[in-house]
Amino acid sequence: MGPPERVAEEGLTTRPDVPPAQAESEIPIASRTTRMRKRRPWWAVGVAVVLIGAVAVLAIVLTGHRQVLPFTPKRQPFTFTLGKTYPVSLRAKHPDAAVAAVAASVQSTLSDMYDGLFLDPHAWSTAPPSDVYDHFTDTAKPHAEKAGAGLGLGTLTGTISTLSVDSSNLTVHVLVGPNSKPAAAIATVEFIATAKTKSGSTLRIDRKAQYLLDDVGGTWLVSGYPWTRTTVDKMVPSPVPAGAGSGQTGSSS
Amino acid sequence: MRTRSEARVTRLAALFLSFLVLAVGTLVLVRAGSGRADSPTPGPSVLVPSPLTIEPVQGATFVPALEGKRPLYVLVLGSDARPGQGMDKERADSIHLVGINLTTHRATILGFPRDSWVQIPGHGMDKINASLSDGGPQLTVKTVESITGIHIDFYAITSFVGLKNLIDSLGRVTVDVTQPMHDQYSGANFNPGVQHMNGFQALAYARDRHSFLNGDLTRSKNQGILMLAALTRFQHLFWQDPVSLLPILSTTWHNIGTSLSVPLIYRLALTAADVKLSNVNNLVVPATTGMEGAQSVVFISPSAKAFYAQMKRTGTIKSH
Repeated sequence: MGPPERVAEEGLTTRPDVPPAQAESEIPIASRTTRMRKRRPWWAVGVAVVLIGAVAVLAIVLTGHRQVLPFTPKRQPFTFTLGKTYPVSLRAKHPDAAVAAVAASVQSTLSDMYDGLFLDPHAWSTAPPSDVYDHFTDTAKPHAEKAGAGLGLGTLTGTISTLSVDSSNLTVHVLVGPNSKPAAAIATVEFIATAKTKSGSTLRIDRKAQYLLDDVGGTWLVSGYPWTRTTVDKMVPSPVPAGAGSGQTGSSS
Repeated sequence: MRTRSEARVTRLAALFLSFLVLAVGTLVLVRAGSGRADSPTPGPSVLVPSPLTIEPVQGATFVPALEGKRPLYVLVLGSDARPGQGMDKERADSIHLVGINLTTHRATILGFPRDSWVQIPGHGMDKINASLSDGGPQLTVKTVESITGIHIDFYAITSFVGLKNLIDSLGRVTVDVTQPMHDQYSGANFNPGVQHMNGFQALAYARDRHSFLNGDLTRSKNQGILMLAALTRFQHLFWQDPVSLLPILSTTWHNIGTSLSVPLIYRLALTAADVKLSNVNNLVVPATTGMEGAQSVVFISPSAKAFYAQMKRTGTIKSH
């Protein structure tokens, strides 16, 4: 009964209920142990490779170089915070439900559009993804395509390594015709984000814009963009330590 | 002596610890790397905008102006209806054919003096302003169509009060008054120079004909000037805040009678917002004043036919 004793020596438990004949028929324990010993370095190497890979991905993500990854980390789609909705009615009463439905559709359209214009990593490096232009009417689409990055990050395109939204707000004015049907909508948005550039700077991007929207088969699409204004502040450490006062706001004026 | 499972757990723990050390080390390195001179410093200090803020940038703009291969014609009428009177049942004090070239985005305002002696379809010769009281805006449209040979797409009519409300919805309009206008009938009381007019003053400016030697002709020209002043003010308001379009449009809707639909008025307003002011000219049909029986009238000159032909072809007339 040599082999079972060697097993005990190696710290493995024996199975006393197994008849000796059956145990004999199995692969000799000694040779199993030897193979495990031989496998162990490979197992360890595999785990080490996985861990090093994980650390590398972590480092890439943390340093804002996501674009070098062969996959895009899943991100939450952006949604504008819907503020007030103002109906401008050409008759005494306006249908609240219809106006609310317009606002919801406008919110969906502009949220998807801003997701592509500002939060898609392609927009940071080269240009907004092509599906951004699906949110425009047929008339506006060629103009929007021509404007390209000018609709979003503009000259910052190519310099951004990460961007995250700090706050957003959307108000919607809906023109209701004499037939009680929404005829047109104008959306006013404010979108504030913090971006890190490839050179390591931190930027605060404040985008204010107004969009004209038309009903196209039940979906409100952007038919015009008459007014956009983007302010970019390069953020620097405050000369006043945090908690020493709240005078920083005034210093930016 | 350790058992095999204990050794395995120890090795796993060691590996996990190694990973943890590696991850924390990476984090520390990343943070350290981001602490360069032009980067935010971690720790208790907060980030504030640099004094060297980049100037705000106006992004790409686009307004969906009307587009088309043929010009669009709108007859704009000002009825002399007082409060309580139907504006399409009184006489027209102001008659302007507006042609818009939807390709070049140019426009012409062509005024017809209200005393123009013309053939009114089905009613014989009369002053053109009688066409409104004879058959409503539709007959005035027919009359202008028969004079010019131009098919008019839409009409829009307003009253004295309507005009006042429209101007008030824009705030004030700025008009350069070229000669003294002091007229008790219209209420005009302006010295030459730039005037910022409210609705009441603008109405008086548009009505005054007694201050001029060629009365009705200059009045028609001034009405066009007022339209341009309103356009200028509208453009200012729109580009400052496009949302301002909606209350203006609402006021317009409640103060006019029109064959235009709401979506088309909206599109026309956007077209008006987008057109260059230098691409809009204001003309009056060439004409002379005279008498027809006991009536003081305006005779449209035969040379006006060249105006009509040009306007029919392109929607606009080159300024002379």
